Amino acid sequence: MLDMLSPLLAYLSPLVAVGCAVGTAIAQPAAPGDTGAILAGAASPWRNAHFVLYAYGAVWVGLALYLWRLASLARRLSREIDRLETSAEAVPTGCEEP
Amino acid sequence: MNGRTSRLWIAGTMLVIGGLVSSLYLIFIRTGLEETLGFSQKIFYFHVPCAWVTYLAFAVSGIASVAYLVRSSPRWDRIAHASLEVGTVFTTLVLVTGPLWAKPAWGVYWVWDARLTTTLILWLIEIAYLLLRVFVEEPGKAAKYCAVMGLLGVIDLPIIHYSVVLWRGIHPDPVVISRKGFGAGLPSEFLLTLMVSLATFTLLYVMLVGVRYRLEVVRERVNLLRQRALER
Repeated sequence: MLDMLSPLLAYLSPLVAVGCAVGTAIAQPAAPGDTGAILAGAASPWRNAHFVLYAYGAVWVGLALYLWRLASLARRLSREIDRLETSAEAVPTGCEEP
Repeated sequence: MNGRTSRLWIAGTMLVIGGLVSSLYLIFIRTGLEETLGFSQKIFYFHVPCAWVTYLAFAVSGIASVAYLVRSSPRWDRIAHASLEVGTVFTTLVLVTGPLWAKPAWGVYWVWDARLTTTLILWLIEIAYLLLRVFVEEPGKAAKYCAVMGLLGVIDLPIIHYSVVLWRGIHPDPVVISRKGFGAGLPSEFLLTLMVSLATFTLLYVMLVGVRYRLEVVRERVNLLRQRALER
């Protein structure tokens, strides 16, 4: 189970990067007469695009941070189990030959 | 983890990744721009699923809390804890994406509107729940206090949902589940994109709760091993 977290992070991290990159590319204000012109009104519909970038970036970063936290908790617990099991094996049971 | 669980896990991960990619494609390429808000309306497709997962997480946590109070089984407590912790992440995202959408839509990041205020109260309840987990040392007591706290949050859910109807504020009325019918307030292409995004976030929530639940099992095992080590 714990080993599965790392692949999940590995899968999602490039997605986060791609998501942010796509968001950044899309969030660039469009040139006059570009797609924005299909809408009625003088103001460009792209004028607030940076808010979309921030919002999507926040979601990606938030989820990535939570996954990272889960992965680090998993690693810490795994190390603790190894340590406790090793120390349990090292304790003499009192039944050994003198 | 056995082979079947492992396969389910891999399939779930692939579905989430596929869902996220499909959502981004639908949001940014297939779905057109909304006439009034323009491009900033795209925040809707992540903001609403985050809010939905918040509702879902609290509902699951509430049911598990009641089950824990009735049966005192640690399994229910683990489910309640896992669900609420994941829910806190999504509530935080709601409270971040909401103001980022509010600024272009309303001209301000925050107003003390009923929907926003009750959502903030829910987030504070979640923080209180997580703090109780940390600061109450005895696990049995922590589980009971948290179960009560979780139920307090459940009471806030219908208040949040109906706040826009009960107290006419600045936040728009529900457009997906409304009195007009399911999705009646949305054009069909917007609704399809939202549904894909909702399904993806729901699956992501299920997987995150699964991971958090298993980590809680491992943590209990660590505590048991520590206790045994101290007894020797």
